[in-house]
Amino acid sequence: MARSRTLLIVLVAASLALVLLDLRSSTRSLRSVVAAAALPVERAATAVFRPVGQWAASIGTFSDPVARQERAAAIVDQLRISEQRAQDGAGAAEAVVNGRTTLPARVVGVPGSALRAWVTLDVGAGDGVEIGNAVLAPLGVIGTVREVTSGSCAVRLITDPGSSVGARVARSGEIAEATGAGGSSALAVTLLDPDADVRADDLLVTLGAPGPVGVPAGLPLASVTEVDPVRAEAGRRVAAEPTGSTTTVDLVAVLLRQGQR
Amino acid sequence: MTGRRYAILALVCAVGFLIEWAVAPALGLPAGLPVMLVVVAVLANVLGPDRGAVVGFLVGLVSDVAPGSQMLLGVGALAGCLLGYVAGQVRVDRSPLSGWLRLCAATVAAAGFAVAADAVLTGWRPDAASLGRAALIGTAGTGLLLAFLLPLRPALRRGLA
Repeated sequence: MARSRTLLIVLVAASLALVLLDLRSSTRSLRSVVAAAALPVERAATAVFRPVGQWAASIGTFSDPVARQERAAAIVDQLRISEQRAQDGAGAAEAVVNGRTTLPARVVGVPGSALRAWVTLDVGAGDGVEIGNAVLAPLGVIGTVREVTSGSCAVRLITDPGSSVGARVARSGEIAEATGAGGSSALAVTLLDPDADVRADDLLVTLGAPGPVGVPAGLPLASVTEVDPVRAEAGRRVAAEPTGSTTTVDLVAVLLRQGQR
Repeated sequence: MTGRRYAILALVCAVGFLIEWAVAPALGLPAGLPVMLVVVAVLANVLGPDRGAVVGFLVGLVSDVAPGSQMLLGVGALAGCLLGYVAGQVRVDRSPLSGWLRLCAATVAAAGFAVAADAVLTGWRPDAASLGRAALIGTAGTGLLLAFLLPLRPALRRGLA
């Protein structure tokens, strides 16, 4: 029994040492090596099992005409991207958004936790992807690249609890900060001005980051769903749904550095 | 343990890991199914607390650095070794229902501990709705997976004896 407890104490101490190591010095290089090694398996699993998952998901919407129509529209959007990608050759830039070329990419890894919102894409530094690049779904910005390996990148979605994005109300120009709440929850948005003019259905667009790599200004980000009637000193709070779907994301576009490709 | 038994152990862990990390997301199953923690609980229950803690530590370590994991290195290992130690002491043979419930509670507690430790250490805060949904998925998934995997204990015991 004493030996058993000693072993447990050693393992707990080793775990705590690893936690301290990760807090004090990033383990990004170790994670990059693992991500690069695992990418072929992720690609294979996605290719084999995603059609099965999509087929199963389509059964639920088979008898619902509205859901079927929405699904069809989404598929058409996806097909357009796929078609363009096929014409240009895999990995080629396909369009220009705000003066920046876009790189089509496919989601090959999704978060293992229901509380975090990160995805892995099948494009990386070898394709020109850099940390800070914005990632777009058909209807708006869904996240930014936070980690890059040679053949893949990890994207923190705007719904992740650790995500905070500068935003602006498109109609009134009011400045806000949109914070993720995890999973498929709405964004918690705080407008700087407690008396800001904001209504339900207002469109929020990106505030924009300086430099050639970050998120450009004016891209659709979220739509206001609920306005808190209380005007707090710290700013006015509203809830907003991302305009681009973050829960069914499959094909996306990465906005590359200005002037690249 | 002989090389053959280590190979069986590695194979079981690899299959569980592939299901959690690659197959379940590709099939569109809800994120947060604690497949690997359930595998640790079942293996530890077969191997006992000592070996269970070591297996839990190693499996947790792999989960920490798995692609897509944003967890701090060591947090999953800590949750895994504690789960392995506790699950190794649960007596499932005497009362299957009570054993199943105890393993469920230990697995859900380990998953909750890992999330809470990571949230506190790295400073992210989930909202109540997401937390409730994750707890529901995690608990229901753990219960179902354990119900399927616990009957495999005799076969695992033969292979790993």
